[in-house]
Amino acid sequence: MDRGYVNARVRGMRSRIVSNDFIIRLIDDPDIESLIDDLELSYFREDIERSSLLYSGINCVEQALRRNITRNFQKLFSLVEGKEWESLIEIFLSKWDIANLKTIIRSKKIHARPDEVLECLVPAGSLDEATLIELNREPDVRSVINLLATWRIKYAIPLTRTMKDIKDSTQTFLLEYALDHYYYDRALSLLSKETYDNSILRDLIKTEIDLVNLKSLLILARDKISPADAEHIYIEGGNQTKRIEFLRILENNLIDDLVEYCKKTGYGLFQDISRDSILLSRVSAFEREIDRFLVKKGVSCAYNDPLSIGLPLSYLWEKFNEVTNIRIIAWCKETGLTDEQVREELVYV
Amino acid sequence: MQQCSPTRMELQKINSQVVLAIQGRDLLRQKMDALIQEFFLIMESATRSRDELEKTAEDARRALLIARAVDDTITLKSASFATKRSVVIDIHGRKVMGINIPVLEKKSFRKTVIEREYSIIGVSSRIDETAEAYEKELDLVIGLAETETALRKISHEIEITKRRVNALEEVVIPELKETGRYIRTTIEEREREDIFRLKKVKKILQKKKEKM
Repeated sequence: MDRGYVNARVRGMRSRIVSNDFIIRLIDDPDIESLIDDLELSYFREDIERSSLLYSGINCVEQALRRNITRNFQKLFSLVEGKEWESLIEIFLSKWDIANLKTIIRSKKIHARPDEVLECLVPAGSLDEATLIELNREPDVRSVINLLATWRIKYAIPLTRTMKDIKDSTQTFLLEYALDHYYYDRALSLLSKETYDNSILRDLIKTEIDLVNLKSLLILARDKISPADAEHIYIEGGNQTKRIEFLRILENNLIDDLVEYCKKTGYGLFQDISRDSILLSRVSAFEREIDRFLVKKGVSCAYNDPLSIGLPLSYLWEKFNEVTNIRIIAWCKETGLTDEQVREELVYV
Repeated sequence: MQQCSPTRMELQKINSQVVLAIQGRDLLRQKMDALIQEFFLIMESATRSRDELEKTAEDARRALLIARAVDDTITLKSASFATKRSVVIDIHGRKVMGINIPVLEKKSFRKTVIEREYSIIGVSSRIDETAEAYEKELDLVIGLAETETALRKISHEIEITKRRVNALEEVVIPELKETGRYIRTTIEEREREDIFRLKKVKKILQKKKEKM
């Protein structure tokens, strides 16, 4: 694989990501219409023009952003398809597959209309639009899994295995957990070989596992969930989190243990965390810090070897961050939040 | 004034009706006082609940906005598929001064993350907190529905009782008293006529006796 060529293309794509000045200009826009006008001046023009044919206002922006992220991720995937980085990029993009499959499973449970569900699917991963449409047409969860198995799509493995334990429709969340575990297990097994590229992504995934476990623990401790109910939520493979400790904190339900655990596994994020901050703050406030940390870590992958997977990974995180920030600004403009409130909610600038 | 025969029996009947009407009026007044007292008690808690509901609704709206902005509308909609369900409430009644007031089953719709039936790994805590805020709002709305229905029923009953007290006080009792007065006057008039007649007869009989 010509790493130089791929990286040059990625650098080109990266140069089109909007600058911080542009983001600040969007924050200063008085309303959603001027924000759309500004976006039309950026490389979002094509997406805005296309979505404005069908939508207006905030819906136009949301649709354009979804289209933009799908288009760019697929473009990057096409650059590495059939080459040595394919599996690495695919690991990152699988998140969208997992999200799409979860949406389809949930919709089958409540018999939602297929057209209503289709709006919620983003074909940014390895499952393309045609596959998702076909899966969405299936009448129930079992048929969806059967179709995945027939087409030999990898996600059929955890779903088929877990489907045996499902007693009624209220337990379909077990399928979701099976998908989550499969995503992280598969990622770590694909990255088990000791190479420079693998080590970059592995470190990222392991950090993500630690932070996901930390977030889960905060939520579970808040709701006083018993270890028996929480056992399937813990994800193996993190750098610093240990199952036995995770379950012990839930068993004892002591805030001091939780504070200690957060300090230890928070990657320096929660050094100032205290009993009061856990009792008074919402978990979303901690999650915002976790999101910012992960995005920063993802973006900083670009500081590795210039010809490594670091640059494409960094681009994926930057793109995700860019789209999220523009969406936050657009929604705040739509509902009239102040500039300060907008800045507070931004993921990472 | 109602049609009646001016007899002593009728007068007795009317008198007892007046006493009964006065007793009824006093009872209804007492009922109205009790209802007004109950109305203000419920009113106080309804005002408190309404204020709390407004605050909760505002929090829920803000949580929804943040979740839509950060996590995207489609992620939020996807999570909502997992937890879509109907709200079933049992209703029974209690009696306050003879009025049937509905009592809604005090069941909390707030759920733990496990009960929401989605994987917390893929759903952000912002969405979770939005769900929680709306569950809290639903609890308050149902609580308020009970208090507001009770308020409406009590105020309706107060109005009816007030109308009844007014009817007794302004129409029934004065009319009965008027009828009683009429009967009394008529009886007195008749008694005077009888005495006059007897005197006249006595006079005629005396005159006849003198002539003989």
